[in-house]
Amino acid sequence: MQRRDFLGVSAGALASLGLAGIATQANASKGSGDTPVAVKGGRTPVTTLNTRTLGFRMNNGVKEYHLIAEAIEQEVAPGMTALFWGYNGSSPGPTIEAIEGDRVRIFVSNKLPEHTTIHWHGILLPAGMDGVGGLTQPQIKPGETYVYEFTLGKSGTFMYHPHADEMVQMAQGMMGMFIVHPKNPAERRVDRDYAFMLASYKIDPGTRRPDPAEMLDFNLWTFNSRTFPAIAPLVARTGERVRIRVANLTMTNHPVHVHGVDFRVTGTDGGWIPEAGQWPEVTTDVAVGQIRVIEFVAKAPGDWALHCHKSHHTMGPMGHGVPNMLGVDQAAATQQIEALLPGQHYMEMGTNGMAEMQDMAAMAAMMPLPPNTLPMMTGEGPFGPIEMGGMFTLLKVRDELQPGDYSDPGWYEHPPGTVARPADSKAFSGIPI
Amino acid sequence: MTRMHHPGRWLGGLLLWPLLAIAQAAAAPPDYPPPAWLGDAPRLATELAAPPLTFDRVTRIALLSAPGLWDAYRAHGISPAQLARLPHWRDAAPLSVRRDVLGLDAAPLARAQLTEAVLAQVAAARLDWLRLALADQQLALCRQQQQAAQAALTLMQAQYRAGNAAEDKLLPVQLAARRADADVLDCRASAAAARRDLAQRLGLPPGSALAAAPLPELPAILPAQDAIAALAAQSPAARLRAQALATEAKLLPARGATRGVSLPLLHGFDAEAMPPVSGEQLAAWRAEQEADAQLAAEYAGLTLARQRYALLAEQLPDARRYTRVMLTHYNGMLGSVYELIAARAAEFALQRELLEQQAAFWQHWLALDARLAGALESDFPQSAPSSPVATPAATHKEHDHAAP
Ligand SMILES: [Cu+2]
Repeated sequence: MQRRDFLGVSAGALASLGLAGIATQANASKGSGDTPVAVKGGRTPVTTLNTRTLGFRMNNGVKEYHLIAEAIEQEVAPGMTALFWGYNGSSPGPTIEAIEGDRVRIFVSNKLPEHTTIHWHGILLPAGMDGVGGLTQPQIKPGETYVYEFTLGKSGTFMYHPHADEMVQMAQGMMGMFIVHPKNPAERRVDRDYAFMLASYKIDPGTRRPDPAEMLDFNLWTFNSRTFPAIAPLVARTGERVRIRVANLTMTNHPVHVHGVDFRVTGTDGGWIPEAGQWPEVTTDVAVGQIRVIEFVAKAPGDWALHCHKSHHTMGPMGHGVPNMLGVDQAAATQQIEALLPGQHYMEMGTNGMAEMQDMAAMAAMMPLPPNTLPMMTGEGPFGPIEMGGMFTLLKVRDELQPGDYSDPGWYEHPPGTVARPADSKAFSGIPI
Repeated sequence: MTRMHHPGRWLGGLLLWPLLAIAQAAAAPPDYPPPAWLGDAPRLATELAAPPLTFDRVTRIALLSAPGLWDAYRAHGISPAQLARLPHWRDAAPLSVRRDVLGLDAAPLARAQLTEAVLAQVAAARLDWLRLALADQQLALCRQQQQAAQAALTLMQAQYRAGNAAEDKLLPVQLAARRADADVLDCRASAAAARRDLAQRLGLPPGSALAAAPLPELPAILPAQDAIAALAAQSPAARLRAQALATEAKLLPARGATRGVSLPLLHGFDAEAMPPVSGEQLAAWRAEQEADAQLAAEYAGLTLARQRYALLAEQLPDARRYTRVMLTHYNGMLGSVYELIAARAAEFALQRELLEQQAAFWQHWLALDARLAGALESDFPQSAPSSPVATPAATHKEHDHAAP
């Protein structure tokens, strides 16, 4: 049984048994990994990082889906799990994929302790199906199941999320992608189609539940509720056309930057952008409540970084009260502090920068971190510590990758002479500086 | 006086020594170097005062050389020089003033004045010893608090020099460090005063380097209040009051009834029907009431100190754990090093509070023991046996049988 199948069965089984409370999701996959669920007509299915596509059944020409709002426990990255609210066993919930023109009927069961609704962000539908609790429908009370039904009039990239006690429910991880493929399989065809959601959380070190009262000071910056290095890499064969759909349900904007390619923004949650309206970019800002769809041809093989360009969003939790030790001679103070803490390991930090933080995290047995939290910097690459965390993953482009193979190809093997190396001092003496 | 001949009972030794020669010597004014009539007592007292100075040692030194006992010794013909020749000072077993020195269990009412003086001086010496033990332990904690404040200051100064902190951050840390310095000064002065007071109390040279053993742990159980009351009723003071009342009661009929007074309130009452009471009886009853009230207050103080101590002691593991938690936050760059230092400093502050309650408990305990004429003293937790005082062989042999 494949991991995806296992997840599908387990979430469904829990739902049918009516088990309340916590469904534990299996670990995040290492690669973008599993082959995505096939979409009819030779279309390229969507790969949602660390997350699956929701199954459906046909009923008299209507596609029927079932979303279950529920509490879950899920790993953020090795060393930390969180108590989220999500859908069908995960946060974000499984991606809904459908085809332009489809009639869809979506059942929503509420297994949360409070009422909820689902808003279908960006989809044009009858007002009564828009999912705004109190405004367009009654709230879905705990234990109730509601049904939404509408026709998908246009293709594009959309989201679903609660429109009931939004501040709490989105802060707890309730969100998902809703992707509508063009009716014509040849239209806007790509070879790889990736999707992920930007989500931020405040989970204090040593705690497990996101703090719903936090407005600004988040400490976990995630793709699909996972942080590097637990975020699956995106893989592509050299020369393939790749699409990445990025949706932002955090409280701030994220300039998403991809190394090794130049891309165009080809769509938003409002629809597709005509080619005349596109221009080249290497970073695109995704504002709050927005989706940006980018496309490129993976021209150069390699392991390319893909990350938010706000540097504090590519880091694990860090305290704001930490004093600035850069350039501070701590020797005398360190002796005195060590004398205060007999039998404990105290290490001075920050005099020459913070890169040593990663070594510190590696020595966790001697210098433990609080329970259930993540180091500020982490990730081990072929050349040493990567010193990242949060919204960071890799785009792995390979010549030899087979079409449809989504497994992690490992570290890129650079052709001889193509890696930056230490220079001989004679080689650069005399260059004007 | 035959009852005082029991071997091993110090009182026998004390009271049977010839008085006359000593009484004359005792008239000489005390001065340093010690007067000759003290004999070996000062030297032995100094030997016994070697660190760590324990509860038992303090008791022995007080008996041997406390100037507060000279008058009583002179009045009872006891020579400190001869006392010093007793072999018992070197016994390893803890000394009981009540049993081994005064023989109160056998003769509770004998030698009331000597008993009172001995009990009072021993109790005062023990309290001074307690004060020194507290002050020395406080000083150690005071210094640790100073080290914590200094570590924070050293780091902040380094940050300041590097251009990473301004005076708004530096000055409060500097003020805290100077306050900690002043605190150490006070702690050191308290310890020095306690050391001087104890030396004076014990008749030791003013500069004696006394170092008290650490305060003992609190006992697991307290004697019940009614047991304490029963012991109090057996104390010489209570027996003397009872004796006085009995004597007065016999004398009263001869003295006749109290004369009646005419008050509107008393109209129709026969004043002569009131039982005759003497002023001495009233004084004795008042003394009884006062003694009961003081005993109850002392016991309440003891209980409260013990409860406070228990509450504080429960906090200590959490305070220590909090420091370790702050260290994990520091390790993860989640918390400030200053928070870590403050957590450790809070541990020291808590330990000081704990120590104060520990001392308060023993202070009440000693006061209670003094009221009970030493009925509790054998329950005092003795520290681990310290190396016995070196015994000059000649002295030991020569005076092996001081009591006839
Ligand atoms: Cu960002």
